[in-house]
Amino acid sequence: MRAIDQRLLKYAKATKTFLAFSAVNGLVNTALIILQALLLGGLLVDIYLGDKELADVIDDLYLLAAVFFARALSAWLSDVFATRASNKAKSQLRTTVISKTLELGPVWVSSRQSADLATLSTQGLNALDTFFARYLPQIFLAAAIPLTVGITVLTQDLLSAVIIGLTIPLIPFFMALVGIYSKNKVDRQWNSLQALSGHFLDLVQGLPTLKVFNRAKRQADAIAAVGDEYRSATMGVLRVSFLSSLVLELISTLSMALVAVSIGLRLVNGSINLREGLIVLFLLPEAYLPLRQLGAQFHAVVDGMGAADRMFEILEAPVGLTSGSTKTAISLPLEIEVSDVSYSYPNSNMVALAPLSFTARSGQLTAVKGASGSGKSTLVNLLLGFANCASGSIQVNNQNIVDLDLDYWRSHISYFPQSPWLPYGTVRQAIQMADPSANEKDIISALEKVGLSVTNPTDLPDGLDTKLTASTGLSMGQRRRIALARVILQNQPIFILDEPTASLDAKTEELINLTLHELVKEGKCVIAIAHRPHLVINADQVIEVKEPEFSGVSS
Amino acid sequence: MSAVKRMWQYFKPMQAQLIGSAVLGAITLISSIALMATSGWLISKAALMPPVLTLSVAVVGVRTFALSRGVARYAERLLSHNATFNSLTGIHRAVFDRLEKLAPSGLPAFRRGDLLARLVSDVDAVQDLPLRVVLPITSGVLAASFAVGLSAWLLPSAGLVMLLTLLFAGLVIPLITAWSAAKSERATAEVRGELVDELIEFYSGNADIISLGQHEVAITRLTELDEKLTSISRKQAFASGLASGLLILAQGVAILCSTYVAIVAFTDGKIDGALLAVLTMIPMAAFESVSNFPNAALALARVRSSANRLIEVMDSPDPITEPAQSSAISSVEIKLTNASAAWTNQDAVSDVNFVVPQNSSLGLVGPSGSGKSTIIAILQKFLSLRSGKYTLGDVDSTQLSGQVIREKLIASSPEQHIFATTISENLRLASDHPQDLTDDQMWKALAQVQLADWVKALPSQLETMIGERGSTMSGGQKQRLALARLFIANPNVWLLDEPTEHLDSLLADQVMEKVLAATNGKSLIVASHRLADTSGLDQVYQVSRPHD
Repeated sequence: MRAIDQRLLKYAKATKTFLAFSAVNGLVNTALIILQALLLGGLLVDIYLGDKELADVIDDLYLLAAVFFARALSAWLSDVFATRASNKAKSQLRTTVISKTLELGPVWVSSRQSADLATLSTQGLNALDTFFARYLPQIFLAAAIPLTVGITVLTQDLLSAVIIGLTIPLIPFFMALVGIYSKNKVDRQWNSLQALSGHFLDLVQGLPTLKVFNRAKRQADAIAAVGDEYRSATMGVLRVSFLSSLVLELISTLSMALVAVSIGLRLVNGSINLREGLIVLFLLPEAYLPLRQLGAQFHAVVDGMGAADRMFEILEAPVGLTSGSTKTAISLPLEIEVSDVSYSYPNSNMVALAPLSFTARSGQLTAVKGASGSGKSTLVNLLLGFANCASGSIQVNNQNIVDLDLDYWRSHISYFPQSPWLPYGTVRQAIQMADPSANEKDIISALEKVGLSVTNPTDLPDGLDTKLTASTGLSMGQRRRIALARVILQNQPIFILDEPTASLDAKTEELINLTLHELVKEGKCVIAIAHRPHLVINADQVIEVKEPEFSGVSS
Repeated sequence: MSAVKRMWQYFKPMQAQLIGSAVLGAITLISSIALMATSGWLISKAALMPPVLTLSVAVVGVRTFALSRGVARYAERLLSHNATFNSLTGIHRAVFDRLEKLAPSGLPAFRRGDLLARLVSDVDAVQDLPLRVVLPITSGVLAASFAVGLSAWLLPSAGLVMLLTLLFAGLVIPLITAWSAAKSERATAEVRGELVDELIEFYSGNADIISLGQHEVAITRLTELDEKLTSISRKQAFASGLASGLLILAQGVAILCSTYVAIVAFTDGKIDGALLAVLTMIPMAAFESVSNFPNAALALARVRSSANRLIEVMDSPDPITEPAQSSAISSVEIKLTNASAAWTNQDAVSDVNFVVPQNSSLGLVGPSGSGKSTIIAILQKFLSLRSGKYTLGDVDSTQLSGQVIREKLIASSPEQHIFATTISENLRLASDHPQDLTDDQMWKALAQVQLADWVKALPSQLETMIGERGSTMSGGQKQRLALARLFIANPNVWLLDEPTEHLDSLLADQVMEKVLAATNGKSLIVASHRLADTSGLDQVYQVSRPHD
């Protein structure tokens, strides 16, 4: 918890102005409350014991009205600025998360669910509202206000000030004590609680599967059992965490009782006067309020930490990718030399690609084949700089690609992924992503190279304006061809194609093979992952990726 | 009956505990009002230097109220949370029972993971109904009534002041809060939606966007949307602070007016002087009772939208009509005659005709989206026919329960769920007698789908936990694990939906070979867009999209 506090603080910098304002505003509010107590105490005593009449205190009542008005204004402003500050902090966090995911690269991103990532950096951030808007300024106010109020009480009555001075430090002391005592217990139960609430979602998501195997009805009984477990685990956590608020409540109310009774008894023997007594009584709750609020907000902050944890998982994920800065020209024809390149997944001994060497050249078709899981896609990721080699190197014209600026290096590659992505939009927009200035003719000719005709309604019902939504009913094969056309239009010196002819019928496959050979003839360096015999037979060289041995796995 | 009221039914069994919580909550709030009032009376009286004995009742009162506040609050929180969690189990059970009837065709959510996750969080959100709406309001109203009553008893005009100001704070301010929250939600919803859509696009197309060099453009667009959202929310902030300001103002008016009428009453000799401070101090504590109402209004709005979504699910019609008493299956000869069916506004099939004799095989081919999966769903009785007939042997499927059909026909598809548990538990669920399934049988099934080597290399082998949604596995591995379940279930009819979707050709061929060997003497239906998968089968049926 504390660690996350400090990590989040880094992102609170955007809210510095707001924090300063909140501090000032909080102190102004306290001054108003003190003024209110002085005025009220004074006028009540004047009326009660001082033979004054309503007319004598009417000015004080007007002044009091002004004080209340100012307090209302201060409360309103404090909320307005709190909202603004948390908006600003959230915006900063959002931007940081997005640019961090860019640094982490597509391999990392593809291991997450897009919708989860998107929700996390939008609604997910709302869980941190309390932290930025309330909790942070309250930390300052929880120290400043009791002090100010305490000093004011001191000017009225020494004994009451001493009681405040002795009891207020008890609050953080007992909170820490409860915290230390319960920390392990809470942590342990918190984990089981998370597991339990995930369990229901897992069951619901798996319902269709359970039904296939006629197991769903039997699971329904398990729900009740899990629910009971969930309840007792949660109650265990709550019994302890509510203890801290019990301590808070008791300290502040018992101090109130202590002060009231002591003032009462001293009034009887005349060692204090009523005006001082009333002022102290009015002020007393205000000394404890900021700490009570802090306690309440602390719980809200802990609730929001789930979101913060997931965020920091991203923000603190080690970036496995390094980018060089060199932008030396890559002259044609080029030569890509892959020497002894291997890769293992970070934080595990799992080998994803066993050492591999080959040279790919401009004007050549290099086919890469190998069994599923042998590391073909890993090789593609390494070539594109989506991951760094664990050993060995990839050199282009004798220049190691890790020294090159990554964006610059990638700008030489036309890449066709295994499952290419098309934006929600039209065919035209999808293809123009490769070259925003491409005209109609370029786009049509690129589509023709993959066997799609804009005039054939079974290919593209609305020509270039065909929408790429699910309802258009374009098949997987058609969508892949549109993406392939996009890559062809991009027309960089290097083509890296991951299964360019998968999900296609024999005729189209042949056409695409022809197109690839044209690219090779134009002097492109084409590297294609392939299972199809056609593609392999016509290649200038065939690289076989061998399945990594499992011996490297620790048990 | 409104959705919220219907959800409240689930909390009814805990009524006694909830009423107890409300009373304890009221005692908490009343304690602070009484503590303030008694303290004020105590020191006002003491100022007249009476014999100490006359103050002893007030002294005891002050101490009692100081203790009762904290203790009542602690008890209230434990009791209310216990009652709520108890009820939540009932809601979980009810939702699961309903979903069990609806899965997979009766609810679009089963085809969209995010909708399902939201549904589950909706269930959790309903716990706010007692905790943040009903209980705070009940306790608050009780305590506020106490404050009004106490003031009125001491001085009727002060009671009137309290009544009016508390009504304003307890009714008008929450309405303002709800209004400003709805206004801000309306203003930001569109931009936030756009931002979420853009983000999803950015993440799902990450590799393509970067390799096309479009990431700078995407980031600029995201930043613009973020700035737009932030600036709209900034404008909305003014309304959001209104409630806190007004609450202080209402309290101020109450203190001022109470003090004023008390002074007038005192100078007219109508009340004892000690009540001056009491009447001033009651409003100082009383407004705590209604200070949670604005949050309750916001919570109610959230609960309402969650409840609406849940009730929509609870009220979804049964997708399948089951016979009162299921007939038995005598033969697994499958026959579809002019069969037409559709998912809720999703891909449909029409006029499907084929016969699969017992112990023979059929391939379903056609482009993706042509309805192959729909046919597989029909065969498992996950989907009712709109027209036409589906018979098993001589029995019409309408005479058979889904459960009876799925004892004979079991399907495997790439979408099948991998549970967040061990590999062995994931396999065990496919078995009729899960406890009797031996490790040997599991290893055999894994070997059939070429997963045995991978599992052997895992740290705990069969007992390895596979992460949330099986995320430590690749698509191909998940799919093969799902397929391994079918080798364990070994039904009379194997239904395979895209069995090689995530596999490369070599592996696909090997796996299909094992399937063919295992289904010798059984029936097999394979839906695939890959021609090789259906090449060795007895017959092939071409599925085409229905004409619109």
